[in-house]
Amino acid sequence: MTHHNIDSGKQTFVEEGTEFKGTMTSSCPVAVRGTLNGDIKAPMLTITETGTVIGNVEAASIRSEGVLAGKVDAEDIFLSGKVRDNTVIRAKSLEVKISQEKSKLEVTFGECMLEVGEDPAKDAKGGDQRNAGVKTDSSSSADEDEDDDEMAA
Amino acid sequence: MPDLSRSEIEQKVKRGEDFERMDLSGIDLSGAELSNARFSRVLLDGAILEGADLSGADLTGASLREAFLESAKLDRAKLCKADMDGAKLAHATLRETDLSRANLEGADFDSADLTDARLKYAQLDSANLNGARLQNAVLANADLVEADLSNANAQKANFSRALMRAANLSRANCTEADFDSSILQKTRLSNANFTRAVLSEADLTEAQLDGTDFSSADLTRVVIDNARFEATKLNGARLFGVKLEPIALDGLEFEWVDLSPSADREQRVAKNELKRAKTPLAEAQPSRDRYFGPGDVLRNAELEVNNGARVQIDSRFEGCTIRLGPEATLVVGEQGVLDSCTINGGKLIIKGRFLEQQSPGLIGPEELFISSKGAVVATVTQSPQSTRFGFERGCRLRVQITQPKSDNL
Repeated sequence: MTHHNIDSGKQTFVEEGTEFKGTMTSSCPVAVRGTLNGDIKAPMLTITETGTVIGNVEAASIRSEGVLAGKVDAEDIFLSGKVRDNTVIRAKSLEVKISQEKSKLEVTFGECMLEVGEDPAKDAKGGDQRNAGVKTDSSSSADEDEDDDEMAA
Repeated sequence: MPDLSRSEIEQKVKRGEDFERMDLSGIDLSGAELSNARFSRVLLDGAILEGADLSGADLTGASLREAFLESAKLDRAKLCKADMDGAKLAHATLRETDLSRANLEGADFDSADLTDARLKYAQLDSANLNGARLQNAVLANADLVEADLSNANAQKANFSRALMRAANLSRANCTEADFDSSILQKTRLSNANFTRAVLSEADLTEAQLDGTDFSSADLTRVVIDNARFEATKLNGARLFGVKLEPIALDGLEFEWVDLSPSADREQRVAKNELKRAKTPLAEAQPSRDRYFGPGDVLRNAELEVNNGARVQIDSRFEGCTIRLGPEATLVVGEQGVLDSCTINGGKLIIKGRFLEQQSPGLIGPEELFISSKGAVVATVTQSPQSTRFGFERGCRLRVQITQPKSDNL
């Protein structure tokens, strides 16, 4: 990601109805309305409500309103939609808006790991590094099972 | 920018042609007739659209950063998810316009007409809404941090759960507006009119409330720590669950307030009765709130919180087990630390720290909200109905989320 084209106005689209399998590296922002199954590296990634991204994701900024799964590394992430099982999200900053309606979920999390910002245990009493039951296993892979695509109402 | 003249663009608009994703950055279309234009995802950064008629236009996802839209007509336009960072919209009309989830950071809406507009989840931090018309507008969950809403007319507007820290609402008309569970910390509400407004569970910590009119407003469970009162009008306000020190009564103007839990005005209390009580207002009524202040340390304790009750912890809890009934709320304040504790059920708002020792530390919460200053190391076992999550930018997490297991519940 040495050469970013964020300001050029150019954008790479994976349109609805398109399924892309493989590795994608782009210096432009990428918007996924279809399905991207594989690894992606881009300065900015947008996953719309119809979009799905499964794999290793590396981007400075991610905005996901669709389905996200795999190993996700970003500086800044905005999440709604669905995060599938066996997903690991590492970010400097994460935002998830809480739904105003009590019966509605803004985001549905499967079994996943969130590592956001500096380690909170660093400033714990005595400086003990604590991760008790939280395993920071980065080797988890995306659950490619399509069964859990149903969004909670 | 494509080589299209102004008249060619107007002709294409008239023919109903789609401009999707076209780059029109910097174009001068001031005063142009562009109603019902199909500008979805079009780049209009820095475009000059002063006085243009864009009513009914589809600008979904369009980029209008620093665009000049003064006095433009945008009534019924679709601008959801548009990027309008720093856009100039003074005196523009945006009646019934959809600006949901739009980025409007630092935008200028001075005296703009946003009547019936939809601004749910919009980013309006540092925006200028001075004198804007916001009647019936929906700004639920919007980010209005440091926004200027002074002199705005926001009658019956919906600001529920909006983030409005350090916003300026001086002299604003918020009659019958909804501020339920909104964050109004350090706001300036001087001489603002909140008559019959709903502010239940809003956070008004350190707010300036001089001359503010809360007559007949619903202030149940509102947080008003260190708020500044001076000639603040409260007559007929509903104050169940409010922690108000007697000393603050001197800055309040009212004949009676309503302390009934159901806010049905059955429990009227006169000002002189409250003064005689010499106790915080919340203690003069049956309250289910509990507070653990800074400096206290609680070890290996078990705490059960009844249905619908609210507990705030600004102390240090070590090795404690907390069970929350349905609809019960636990707030870990900014000074609060829960070390090696287990929390079962309820709604959790974490502004301080929760550091798990034994997994899972958070079992079946109905709701888990972690503020920008919150820090959590924990395994979260979701509730059977799935936990509702909210994370503010700036929070620090080492969180493992798991699905519910029957033996944990």
